[in-house]
This record gives sequence, C-alpha cells and structure tokens, in this order.
Amino acid sequence: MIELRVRNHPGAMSHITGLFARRGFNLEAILCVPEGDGTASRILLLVANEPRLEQVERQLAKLYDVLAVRHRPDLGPEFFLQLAETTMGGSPPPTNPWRPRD
Amino acid sequence: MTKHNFLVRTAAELTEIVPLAFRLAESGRPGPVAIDVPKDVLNARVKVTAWPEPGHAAPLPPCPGELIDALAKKIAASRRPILYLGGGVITAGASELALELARRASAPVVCTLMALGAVPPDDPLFMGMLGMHGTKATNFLLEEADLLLAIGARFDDRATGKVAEFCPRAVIAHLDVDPAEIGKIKAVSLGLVGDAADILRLLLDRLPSQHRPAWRARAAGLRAAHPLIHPPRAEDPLHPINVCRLLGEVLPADTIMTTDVGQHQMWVAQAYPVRRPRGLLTSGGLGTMGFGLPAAIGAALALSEVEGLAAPGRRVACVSGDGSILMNIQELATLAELNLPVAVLVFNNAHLGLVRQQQELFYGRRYAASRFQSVPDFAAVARAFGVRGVRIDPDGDPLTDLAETLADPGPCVIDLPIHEMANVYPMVPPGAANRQMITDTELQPASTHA
Repeated sequence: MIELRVRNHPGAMSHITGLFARRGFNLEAILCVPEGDGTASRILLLVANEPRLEQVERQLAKLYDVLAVRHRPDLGPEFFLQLAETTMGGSPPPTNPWRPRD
Repeated sequence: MTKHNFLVRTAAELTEIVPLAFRLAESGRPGPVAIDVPKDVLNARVKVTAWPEPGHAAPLPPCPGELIDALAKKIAASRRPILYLGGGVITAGASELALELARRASAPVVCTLMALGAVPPDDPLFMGMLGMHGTKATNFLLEEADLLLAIGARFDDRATGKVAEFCPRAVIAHLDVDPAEIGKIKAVSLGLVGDAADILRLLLDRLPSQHRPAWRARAAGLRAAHPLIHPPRAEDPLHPINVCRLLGEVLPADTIMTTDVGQHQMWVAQAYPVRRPRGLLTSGGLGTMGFGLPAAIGAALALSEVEGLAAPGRRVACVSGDGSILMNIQELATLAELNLPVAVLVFNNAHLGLVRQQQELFYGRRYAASRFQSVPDFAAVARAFGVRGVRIDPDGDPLTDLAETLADPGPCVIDLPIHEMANVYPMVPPGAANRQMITDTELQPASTHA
C-alpha cells in the first residue's frame, strides 16, 4: 500500500493514474479523500509489490501535484475489502487509516 | 510530452501559474510545461497591483562532499575507466569539465547521440557514439572497462543493447540531476545527484593526474582496427558516410547541424564531426520525424538575435530524409518568409530507410509500407515555396556540386539521391548485446559491395 498527499484540483488524479498506465502497472484499489480545507487530498493505492514499483514511486515523487509519497505497511488488501463490504454488504467500516494514533 | 500541465480555472491564477510554469520548465531536467487557458479565462479582465517575479530554475541541493571523495577514490583505483556522457552534460554546460576529467583520468569518452559535440571529435580520447549504431571499437572497449562513469545519461536501450550484458566487467558510478535515473536500469555502486558542472568542478579539485598509457593505447588500437566501413569517396561519392564527411569539411566549424529521424540521423552521428556542444540538434528518445527543419529555423533565428554570432557565411544545416522532410515540409513557407541561412539536405533513398533496413535484416525481407511509390521532386517543391531548390546529379561530380550549392547564401533545399538499399552499419540487433554487432561485410561478400 502506498499513500500519497497531493494537490486537490482537476487533472491531479489523471497525472497520477496516467503514470501507472504508461508503465503498465496495475492499480488494484484506490481511495482518495480531501483533507482540511480541500486544497490537498490523501490517496491510498493498493499496488503489486514488485521490483519496478520503486521506479514508479520515484516518478510519482517527481510529479508537481504529488506533495509526499510514503509506504503504509500497516494497511493490507483487507482494508479495501472491508471498505467494499461496508458500502455494499452492510459490514462494519474499517478503521480510519488517518485517525491519529494514541 | 510535457513535464507538467496546468489547467487555468480563473484569470487571477495566471499571475501565479505563469512564473511557476517557467520555474518547473527550467528546473532539474529542463523540459516544456503546458498552460491550458480556456476561452472564458482568456477573455476575463483582472486587476493586478504588481507583476509577479519571472520564474527561474530552482537551485539544486549540493551533492555531499563524501560522495565526491568516494568517486575520486573509485576513479583513482580503477585501471580501465570510461566516461559515458549523455545529453545532460551539454544541458549542464559541463562539456569542458568532462573533457578535463577524461584527460586527468586518462579515461576514453563514449557519447550518446545527445552528447555528440560535448568532446571534440578529433580528441585522442574520443570514442564516438556507443550502442546500436556505434563503432565496433567503442562497443568492444566498453566490454573491457572496469569503471563506467555515466554523466547525464539514462542507459537508454539504444545505448546499452541487452542491459544484462552491458559493460559486464565494470562497476558503475552515475552522476545525474534526476534522482529517479540513478539505478533505474543498471545497479550502481555510486550515485551522485546534482548539477554535473558543480560536481565535476569539485571532483577535479581532488583528483590527481593519472597516466594509463596501456589503456589509452588499447582504445587507440581498437579505433585503428575498427574504423567505419564504407566505400571510398572516389568510388561512391554519394555514399551517405562520404556525404557526411564532406559536410564536415566544407561547412564552417561553428555550423549548427540539425537532423530528422532515421538512417540519415545515424549517418550524421557516425560520420559528421560535431565540433562543439549544441552543434547537433536532434530528436533522441522521442524519435520525432519532422524535428529537423523547424529546429533549424529556430536555431537560425536564435543566432540572428545574438549579436556577433551571426557572422556572414554562418549556416544552419538540416540533414533530413525523404520520409522525415514530408512531416513538416510546410515550414519551407516559414523559411522563405524569414529568409534564414538554412540549408536542407534531403538524403533521398525513396524509402523509410530505417524501417526498410529492419525489414531486410530482421523480418525476412518482407517489405511492407517502407517504399515510396511516388517520390516528390523536392527541388521543385522548394521552388514552389520560394526557396532555392537543387537536385544533385549523381553522374557528374556530385560532391563538388554539393559544396558549391552550400557556398551560395540564403535558404536552399538540396535533394541528394543516395542508394535505395544502403544500410547503417554496424548495427546491434534489437535485444542483442552490444558486442554482437553485424556489419556490411558479414552480410554480403566485399566483391558485390556497391
């Protein structure tokens, strides 16, 4: 799982997803929510962990609209599965990935 | 195609976006930035109290001194070092420093297509272009290197051939302005991020002179043993290698050469001596046919604006092919309008030559869509635009005619009939290691050579 902090405006998402598409790298799951006053967003990307992922991350870091790139090893694929079951099957929601830790 | 693009939503944003776009375009690896201005924004009126400061390149963080120390140690400890220069050396204005480093370290220099001109072509350490259409000497020498110092180069597949077998005996040090390039294709033992000129200056401060007579002699020996193979001028004056060599003789040393993309581009890279940085403007990784003529017009315009450089007789030459020139031939109207000293040389083989060459060598001579059934009369086309047009007669004294045509001032288009089936050699087959070059003589006996 990769977490991005990005500028929130039209076109930002297409810059990011376009980079993955051009490199033939699949995005398994994606979550994007605005933060604070809405000038920035946080994005969670579920991606396959293969060697060329590092190059994708470096290219992401070069995008003007991407403010920060970091790994989220604490979140796995079950996060998105739980989210899908919440919205479609009435299961309890997953833990907020950005809740301040105690 | 662009480093970034902005979609402007309100006119007020433009005072921020325009300087920012210039900052992004000029920072790091320079490149274009697009600003998309919708019609309602274009027509809007805004009040501005002060103009924003123009945008300039953001300063680069300095490279840590201990990495430069480590690089100096690696160079000193190596026995067979090679400098592998890319276009970044020219962009950084670091060509002279790179040459000084080569001399200090007794390191032969190989260049990518984009780095040609960084090192004088007659320098004893210059090994020419590496890779797919590099000489055998260059690619063989790379096999023997124990240290490869890449500067502003990106290990493109045209340069490396089969990556796993590129420079098999060398440890690699890589100096680049873009951190994403370090280790992207080949694992490196040392990566330095920053401005090439700054880093090379600091490196030279701490690098003593090193004599490697055996290694220098090995490079010179390989060069002497494996020159470019082509028929002699008297026998075949319009062989493209002979034409490029003649251009090197008759064009002034400060000529700016531009090319399109294809066989003619590789012949220029192999045989035309690019004598200074930015002396060759060509489309590298993007391989943009149609680049040459607009680039030549741009270069001639820039020269005419720099006082003192627009010396009489100074020329911009655009070597193109009969395929490439058709991509932007409408720019002959611009050339006629501006009356700039641009000579367009069309290497005319009535084919998309590099496509045809690949079909011949790697697709069992199953030619498809690579031959022009109808070839325009380019001299007549030029005249129709109001530009002097000349077709060189292959049966007379074509090189004298060519030299005389180039000596006349003003814009011109010169149509040069070359062999339809001439190939660019040596050639590394796609996917093969660089040492597995094929050459003309291996394909056909010397006796049947045209």
